[in-house]
Amino acid sequence: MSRLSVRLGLVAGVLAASLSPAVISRAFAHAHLQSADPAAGSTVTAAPADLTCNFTEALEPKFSQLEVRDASGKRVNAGDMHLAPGNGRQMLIGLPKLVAGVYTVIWHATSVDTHKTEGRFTFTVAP
Amino acid sequence: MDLFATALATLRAVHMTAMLSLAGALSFRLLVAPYPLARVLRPSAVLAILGGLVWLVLQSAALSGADTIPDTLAAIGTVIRDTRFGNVLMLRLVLLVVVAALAWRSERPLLTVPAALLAAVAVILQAALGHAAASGNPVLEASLGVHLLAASAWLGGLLPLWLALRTPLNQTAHATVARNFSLVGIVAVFAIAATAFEQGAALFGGFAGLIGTAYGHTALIKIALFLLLLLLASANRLVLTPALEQSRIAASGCGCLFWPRSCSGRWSCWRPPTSPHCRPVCTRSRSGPSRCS
Repeated sequence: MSRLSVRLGLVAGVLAASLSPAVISRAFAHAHLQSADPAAGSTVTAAPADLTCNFTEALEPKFSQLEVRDASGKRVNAGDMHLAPGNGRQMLIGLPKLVAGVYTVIWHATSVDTHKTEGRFTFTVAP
Repeated sequence: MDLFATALATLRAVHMTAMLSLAGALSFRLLVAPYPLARVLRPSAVLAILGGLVWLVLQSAALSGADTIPDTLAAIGTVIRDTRFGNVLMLRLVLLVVVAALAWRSERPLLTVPAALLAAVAVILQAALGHAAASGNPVLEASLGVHLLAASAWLGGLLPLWLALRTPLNQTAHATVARNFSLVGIVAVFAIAATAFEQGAALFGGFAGLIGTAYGHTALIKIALFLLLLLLASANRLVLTPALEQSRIAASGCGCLFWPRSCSGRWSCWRPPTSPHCRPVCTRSRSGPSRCS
């Protein structure tokens, strides 16, 4: 009986190790871009004063970035990205008076669970 | 997954597994039997702390994109100071150091209670580190905390259970240990199943997500292993424990009654005066010679 218990214990131990949450819970969940203003692919008639990006998870501001580049690749955003007060999922960045043209938004998001994602989209200013 | 990501995941696994083992061993001492578990507690504490420290270093390198040692060291301060991961992990490491200090002399029963409580807090803090925290869903965070706590009590208690059953005590003592652990296991299994269902509903995105995504596939493997463990637990509860009880009854009533006293730190035994042939085995007693030696 005791030997059987010991054997069962060994099997259970191996299973337990394989069941460890640390082993199982790999990084499948990430912060993804949920919405933006100006929206991805949109055309706006009035130059926006700032850019807002909403993500699916809370972000780490020290390790997240947001920038806007014009058609020539020059960075045009005024200042650095910051999170909206009271909303850890929303990146904000100020913009100067944008002239007509296509602008590319490049974002790097690090969620509070340390997972990193990145992406880009464009919007057009056509007054 | 590249080599660095594999190392990161491995270290996290070592840290988490050691911490679950530490918390499980302490809950075993508290809830099942005051068995001396220095062989489990000490290596688990050391691995949990060292694993956590190295995890912090590698995670800092990953977050900052550092690829040199100076850059990595520079990033550690920022991670500790300015990220939730750093805040929570440092708090956990401090707790683990305190737990290690309390549990190192595992013969001191009065220290088991605070050590077990602090270890439980360290386990629950995982809910503030992972995806549940990022989701911003307090129900999901609470669910994960309970899930991990139950896992530590059950899975972390398996090694102490194995060691206890290997100890040359009589069958009555083994039966008592098995029975007590089964009760803990039953509560833990229900908690694990209930919280897993809640988390699954929140994370999988329904049945389609369960069978159509990599996350769901991993969860299916975990569910299969969980069911296999349930089979083992059922065998323990329905076959092994009753068999041990029957053996005790058949042993002519001369058994040395073992019963765990959670905070006494001793194996308590008694020997019926009508059974002079009975030879109980007591492993230790801090308050002097064993009463049944």
